[in-house]
Amino acid sequence: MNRRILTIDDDPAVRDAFVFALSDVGYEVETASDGAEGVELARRNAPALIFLDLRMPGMDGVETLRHLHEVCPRVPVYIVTAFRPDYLDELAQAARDGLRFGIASKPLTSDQIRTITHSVLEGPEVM
Amino acid sequence: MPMGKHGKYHPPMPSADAALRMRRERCALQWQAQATAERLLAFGTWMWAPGRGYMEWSDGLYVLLGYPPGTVEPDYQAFVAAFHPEDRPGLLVQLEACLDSGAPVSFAGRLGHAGQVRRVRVAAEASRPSGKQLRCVQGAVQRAGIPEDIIAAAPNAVFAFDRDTRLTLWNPAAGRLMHRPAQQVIGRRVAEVLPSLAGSRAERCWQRVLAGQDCRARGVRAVDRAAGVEGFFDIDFTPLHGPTGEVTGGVGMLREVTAQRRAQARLRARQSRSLMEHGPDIIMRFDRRLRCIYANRTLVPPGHAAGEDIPTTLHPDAGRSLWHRIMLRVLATGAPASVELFVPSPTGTRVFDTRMVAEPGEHGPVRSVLVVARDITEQKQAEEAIRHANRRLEAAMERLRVRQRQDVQEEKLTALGTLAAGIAHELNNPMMGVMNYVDYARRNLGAPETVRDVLTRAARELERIRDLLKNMLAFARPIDEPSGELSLHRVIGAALDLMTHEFRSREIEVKLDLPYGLPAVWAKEGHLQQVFVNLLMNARDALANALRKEVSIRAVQEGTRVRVDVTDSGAGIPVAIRHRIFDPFFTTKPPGKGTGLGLSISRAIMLELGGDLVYQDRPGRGTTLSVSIPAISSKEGESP
Repeated sequence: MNRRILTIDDDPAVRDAFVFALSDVGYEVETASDGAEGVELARRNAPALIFLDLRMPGMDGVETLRHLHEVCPRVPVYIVTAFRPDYLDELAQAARDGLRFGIASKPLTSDQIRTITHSVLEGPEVM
Repeated sequence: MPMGKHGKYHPPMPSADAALRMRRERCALQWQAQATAERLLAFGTWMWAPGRGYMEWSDGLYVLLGYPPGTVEPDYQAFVAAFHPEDRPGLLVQLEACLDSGAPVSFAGRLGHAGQVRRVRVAAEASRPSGKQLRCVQGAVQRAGIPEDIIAAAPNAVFAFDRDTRLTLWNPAAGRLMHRPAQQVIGRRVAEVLPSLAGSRAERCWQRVLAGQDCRARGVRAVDRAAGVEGFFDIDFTPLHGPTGEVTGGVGMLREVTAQRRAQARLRARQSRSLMEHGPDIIMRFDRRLRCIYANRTLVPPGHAAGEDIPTTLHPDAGRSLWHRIMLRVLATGAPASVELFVPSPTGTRVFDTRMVAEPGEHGPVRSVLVVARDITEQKQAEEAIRHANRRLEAAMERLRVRQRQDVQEEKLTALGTLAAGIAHELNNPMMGVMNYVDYARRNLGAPETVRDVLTRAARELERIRDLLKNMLAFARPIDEPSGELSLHRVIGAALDLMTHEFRSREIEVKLDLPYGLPAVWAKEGHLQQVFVNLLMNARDALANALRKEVSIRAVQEGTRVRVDVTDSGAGIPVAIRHRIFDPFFTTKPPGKGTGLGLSISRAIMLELGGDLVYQDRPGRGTTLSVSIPAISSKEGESP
């Protein structure tokens, strides 16, 4: 079973959060610091789940989402956001274009990260 | 004188003695006669003999010149010095000429100077007594006066009186004017002859005259019914002086001015009548029994006569009592009155600026009241319109001020919200990092239980910070939750559940008045709940020192909205700070006790939801904050 998780975020603290939350419970976490790097990693080796930041320098989260949809359309994507209004319209447009994604509200605790991961990869977790 | 044959002295010629005695007696008589004449006719005589160097004055001259007899050595210098300084050169010229060439002296001049001046005539001629070479000049000084025949012939009425005010002179013109001949009045007092002058200005005049002053009384009214005299007179008074300057009485000159005065009065009356008839004011005259005896054309249209019915058009029964009361007061006191009368008319109430003036009779008390009334209705209406416009302008300006204040507040809120949102967003990432670092350390640290416990507490504190950040985001722009149909019972119930422990421990009584059938509202549940929690927390803090601790929550439907009032029984909000309670960070709580974000966050949220949060002014009844929320009509069952 594929247990590789990809997290794309320009902030190393956020990337670290996913690494620390998931690596010691049996997941392999890959990190990318921008959208282009993340798309390249996903194209080379499709992960089981992608956590994606919306606000990034260069290619932003919504554009990255569209590229990911092309390279690995079946991989679930979770948008991790603090709900800045800037990207919400584009995100809503992406949803109307048929792109699927979940939304998680920043900041996430380790428990929340694990709960999301488990529920996506193995069905809802009974807490 | 005893005579005997043994006496030493025997007059040689008894007949000559008798002749001498007779001459002496005649001389003494002449002397007496001259003294009497000098006194009665106010003159004095003198003789000047420059060659001998002496001058002789009669007793009368001493009196006339103002020197007590015998006090001054009579000489030329003293004689000239008695005259007015301006008259001395002229007198000297004539006296020298008389001495040189024998020309007679005829000189009119004044005696004395400064205070007492008397007009005199000086007459003299030169002579050579006893045929000697030396010339001497002898003459007389007499007080000047108007001869009685001139006074008698004068066309003006002239009378004179002594200090007792008894008439001493009454010329024929006076007799004709006052219808009384001189025989009837000479010797009687002025006030008996002219009874109406007693106590009037004329009497004051002759008192002044006896004190030595000229004076004039104009337009004195004199009535002597017995003599058939009635009219107005001008009287000029001037004092009369005796030989030594004392006031001996006075002279009066009477002039009748009745005709002039009546003509003037008629002219004035014509002029004022013309003004009264055609002016813009209503003019009426009322007699002492308040009957209208005159009304001008402004009130009476041409073709109608003034009459009893006239005043009723200006003062129907409604205003009559006030009208009458004021008029009676004017009649009684004589003082003018001014009043605004409101008079009903077919075209609406009219306002008259009304003045009332007492009119005295020719003598004596008030005989009538003159009423001048001006219709100032239009003026009043204009004033009222201006006042009304001013009030509306002030109200508009007040609305503008309030609006400006609100706008500034909104702007401040927006700016603050943007700032808070920025900070909250920027803090999200480091927060997420720290939370997970701590969690990782807690899970993977093989350290003692106490250290793990500390890290657990750190994680709990971080969660509090996370919640605060979410609050700040809600304040900035509550978008992370969709609006939906909500039951106020549930939302308020949940908020109360959160506060139950707080209220119970502080013995705060809660009164809930949520009627059944309250419509559902359209809002975001989390935010609406946060608003009610904020309001309940404020109420809790307001009751900290209150005797009666009560919070009431009351909901009512108001058209398309539901209004929820949250009222506490605390001391209320002071007027001075009411406009600031929605300012971000404004707080009355001690530092550390509150963030000051409660009401401003709540209001921002309510505005975002299409509702509002306002302060209700209810003096003396604690603090009420009213939340209004868009309601969902039960029939349509749809969102707005």
